[in-house]
Amino acid sequence: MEEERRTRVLVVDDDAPNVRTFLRVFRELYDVRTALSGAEALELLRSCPVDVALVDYSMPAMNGLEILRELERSFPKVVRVLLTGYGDHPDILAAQRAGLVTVLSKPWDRDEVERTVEQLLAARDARG
Amino acid sequence: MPACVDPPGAWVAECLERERREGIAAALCAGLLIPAWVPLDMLMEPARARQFAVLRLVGAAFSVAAFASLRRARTRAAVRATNAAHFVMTGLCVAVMLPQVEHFQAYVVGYSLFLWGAGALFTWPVWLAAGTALAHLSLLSLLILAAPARPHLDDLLSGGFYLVTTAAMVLGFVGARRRTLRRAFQASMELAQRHRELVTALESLRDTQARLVASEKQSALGRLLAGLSHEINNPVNVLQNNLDPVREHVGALVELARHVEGARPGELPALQARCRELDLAFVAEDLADATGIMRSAVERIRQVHRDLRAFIRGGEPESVVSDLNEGLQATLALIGRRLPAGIRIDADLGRLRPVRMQPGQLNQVWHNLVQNAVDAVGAGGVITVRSREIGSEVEVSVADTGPGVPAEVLPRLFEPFFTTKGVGVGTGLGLATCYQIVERHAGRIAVDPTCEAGARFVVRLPAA
Repeated sequence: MEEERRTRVLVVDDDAPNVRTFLRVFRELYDVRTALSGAEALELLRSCPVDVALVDYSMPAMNGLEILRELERSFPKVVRVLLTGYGDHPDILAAQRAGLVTVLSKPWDRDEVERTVEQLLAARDARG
Repeated sequence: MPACVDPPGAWVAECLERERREGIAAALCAGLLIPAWVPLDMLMEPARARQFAVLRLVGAAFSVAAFASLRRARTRAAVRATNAAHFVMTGLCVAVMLPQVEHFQAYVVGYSLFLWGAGALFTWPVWLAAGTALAHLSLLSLLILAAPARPHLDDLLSGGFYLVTTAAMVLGFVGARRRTLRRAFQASMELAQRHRELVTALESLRDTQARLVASEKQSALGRLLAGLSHEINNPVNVLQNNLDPVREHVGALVELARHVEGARPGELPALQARCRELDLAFVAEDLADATGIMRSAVERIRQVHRDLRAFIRGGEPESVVSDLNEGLQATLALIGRRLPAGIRIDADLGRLRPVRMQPGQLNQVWHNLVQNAVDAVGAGGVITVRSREIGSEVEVSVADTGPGVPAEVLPRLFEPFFTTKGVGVGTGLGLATCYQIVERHAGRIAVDPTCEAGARFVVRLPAA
């Protein structure tokens, strides 16, 4: 059956229950791929291009911002979204102002995630 | 900082200085005035003038020697010995003249005036010295008036001379004492002024201290809350976002159950088809997974709550007698669950005698020390928290495998606002607050100087 290719979303979070929750909520809407660390995410991206990366900020080793910076360098087409409970962290505010990331607060809301992803994809497509 | 004030020491030093100055004044007066007696002796006792002149000059020489010696004297014993020697020797010079003189009354009165001067030097109060001088003057007048013959010109001359020289000596002493009094007055004024300044400084310090403590509390609280917010955020996210999928599954199952309830025998194939459509095995598995992670999310929140309660237990202002290991465990649980990857905390908590403490405050100390250690060590770092009994004390140590405390930082480590973490990262109040809290518990906090690798902070508290 030929269907329109679904948006492929990569979720990166070291908290496994969170990843499973995202997968459960969005499995029908998106083609969800998951990673529990930055290294795992970058490894996956080399073999499987994605449209959107939703990355948790607070992670050991590489935090969300570092992962998204790496994404900007190596996979500039990927739409970058940071999930965080620390929206007012100075580093995050700076990254947001610099246009590096779009920030979604945690706990996330299904509709808000969907709306944001749609808008960001539309903007990316408009830029070509 | 004002210089250390030592009132008893200052008083002793001032008394010594007074004795020295009075001795110098007396030696100076005697050294200058004794030779002035030589012409008087020539007038009154011409037969023995030469012998008396030698004695006067010897007395003056003793005075000059005493003057030189007193200027260098720095100890009480040296000052007193010189003063005593000076008056014994000059007194002796006059005493050997007495049996030979013709104007005996005049010489005796002069000699007694001299003795009064010597006595006044040592310990006599001013009123006693002045009273004695007055008595001597009266005696002199009386002796002159009571003499059978009319007073001779040389008697009057010698009396006048004694009066003038005595007045000169008295003036010298009074000058020395006035100087002492003025200095004492100035010193007491300075002390009063310094006291006022200290009181003002103390008030402002107390005020600053209160503000510091409040600001450190906010900073520590801020860190704690940031950690807790992260701790709670993830499970809340799981609970919030699994609710809808669970509700959808349950809704579909309830709808199916209603169909079953009202179904007629012939409708079984249709119901079975509906079940296949739903993919019951998938629903069952998905529901089990969703409710499983929701249950563990609730457990995570409950655990955070339990740890937090144990941690802030000492919001109670009253101190309690308790085992401080409980607070240590609560703190380690709180920090342990948001520990950066690659860092390990080893706890070795021994059996402890109870300690009188405010648990919340001590927990703040443990939290600061362990958090500092976490900040100091990199990946692969190990933090060792140990509690044990040493004699009548309880010791808690927090050691880490970080870079250690540089020697130049050590003296300022517990100073408020001193931080090596960079602007905006550390407030520089954590260790200062620890110091204050431990001190309030009659304990001590220090960095182990023998620790060669990393840093080891040691807190000792008296057992209850």
